[in-house]
Amino acid sequence: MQLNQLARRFNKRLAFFCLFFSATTFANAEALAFISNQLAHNVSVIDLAQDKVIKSISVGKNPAGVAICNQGQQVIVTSPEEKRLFIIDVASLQVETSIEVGQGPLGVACTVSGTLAYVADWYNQNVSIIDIKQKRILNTIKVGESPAGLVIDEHQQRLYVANRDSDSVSVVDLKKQRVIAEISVGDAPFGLSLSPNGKRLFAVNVRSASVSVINTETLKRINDLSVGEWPYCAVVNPAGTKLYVTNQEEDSVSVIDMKENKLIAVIDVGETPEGIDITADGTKLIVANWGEGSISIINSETLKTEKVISTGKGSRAFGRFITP
Amino acid sequence: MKKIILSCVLFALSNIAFAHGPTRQQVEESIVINAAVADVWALVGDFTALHTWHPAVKTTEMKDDKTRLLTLGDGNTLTEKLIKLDSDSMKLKYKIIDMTTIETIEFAGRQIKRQTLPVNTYSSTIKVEAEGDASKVTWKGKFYRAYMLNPPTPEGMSDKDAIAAITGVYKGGLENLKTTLEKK
Repeated sequence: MQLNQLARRFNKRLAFFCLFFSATTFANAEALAFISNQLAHNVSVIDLAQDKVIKSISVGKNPAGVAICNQGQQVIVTSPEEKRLFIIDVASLQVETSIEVGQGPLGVACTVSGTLAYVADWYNQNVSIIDIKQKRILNTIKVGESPAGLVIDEHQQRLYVANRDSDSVSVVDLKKQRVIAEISVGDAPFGLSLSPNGKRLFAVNVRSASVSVINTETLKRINDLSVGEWPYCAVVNPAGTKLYVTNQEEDSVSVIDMKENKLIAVIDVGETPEGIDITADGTKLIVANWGEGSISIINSETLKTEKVISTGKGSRAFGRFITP
Repeated sequence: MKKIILSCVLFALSNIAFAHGPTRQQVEESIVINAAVADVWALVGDFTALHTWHPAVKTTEMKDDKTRLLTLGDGNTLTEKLIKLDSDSMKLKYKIIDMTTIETIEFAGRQIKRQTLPVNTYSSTIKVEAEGDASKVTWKGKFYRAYMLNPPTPEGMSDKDAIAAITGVYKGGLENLKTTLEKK
């Protein structure tokens, strides 16, 4: 009896300890970055607790787009050259399946629940809605010319699509599965990022070296912010206070204060930076350096590069690529 | 009707100019030259001097202080713009902004331009580093193939053709740069 009570008490403590442990240490240890290496035909998996490459996974030819799906249990990588998506199982770090899609699947995004993926087709001017489990294309939605970056707003049930060659962003109502607005932005928008509250959308304009800021309530373009030459992608920190933009031709990242709407710092990174993402706790900023096959790990507080890790030739990582 | 066809052709051409569907490629070549870095950089870092050491380039004509028109041995031209000249780290970065159209061919129902080099959206960096008493020159380029639409690609416009052409430009240039500097 006494022993029973003791055991029960111990179990409670153990359970509490485990809960605490998994909520803190364990969660951090699990954050992984998936970097598509476009000219090495593989994906580097980086453990962000150790800042080390733990695996390289072969996927299709010239992988480009990345999305974290199913609450971090699956990762989708697109291969426009093979007209396929590759689904990686995060637990085993192996490709579990691939799905043929359109003519040039590039940008990809997943819903939080993770059963649906949205894939922009560079050549077909549309977005495919894919049921990952059933491996089936449910619908395709016509958007603008050369669609690239995608971002989902779960609250408003919307999908935003950057149409690089129409200089616009298409707004898709996910319930109606159709375009409800097209907003004109700068010259050649490629990457997109959304503020955590969903109120501001940022379109990175490659040719005009700027970021267009869109109010998602009025669906109006508020202003354009100047960044570096040939900017590509952007990410907002989880606190919604800063926007980080990669500048391909300047080998740098522009940091914009969102309250003041102005440039506050420029961080030097590796050659030709493309994909950019931030950890769920907002501490680490990861930049894929296409020109030198590496990633820069930046402390988001000090804005200093803490480490540069070799990945593979042509590191692209276009999309959200860090697991929660 | 003719007008409609013409506008369709123009529309197709405008798409070709803007799209960049294929995968971007990289080429890197380097050479070690038995000369002091200052001497090597004096040549490599001079944006107006490519014709003095690159065997394929006949003349350099400056259009403004950041734009050069290179005329090659075969008469075709390249217009290049200086992006960044960094004398401290001995790096020079530039991009191609225009080329001669050698011919216009019809392929898959579209008008396609064949130009001086079979590349698109080309930018390049050339840098000099000390290697002991010698110097190492590294030339690195990023570009797309000439044909920006879905494969199949017209003859001479594939990824392989683009890589081979740029590799040739770099190797030929670097070898002659070495010869020129080591003669001094």
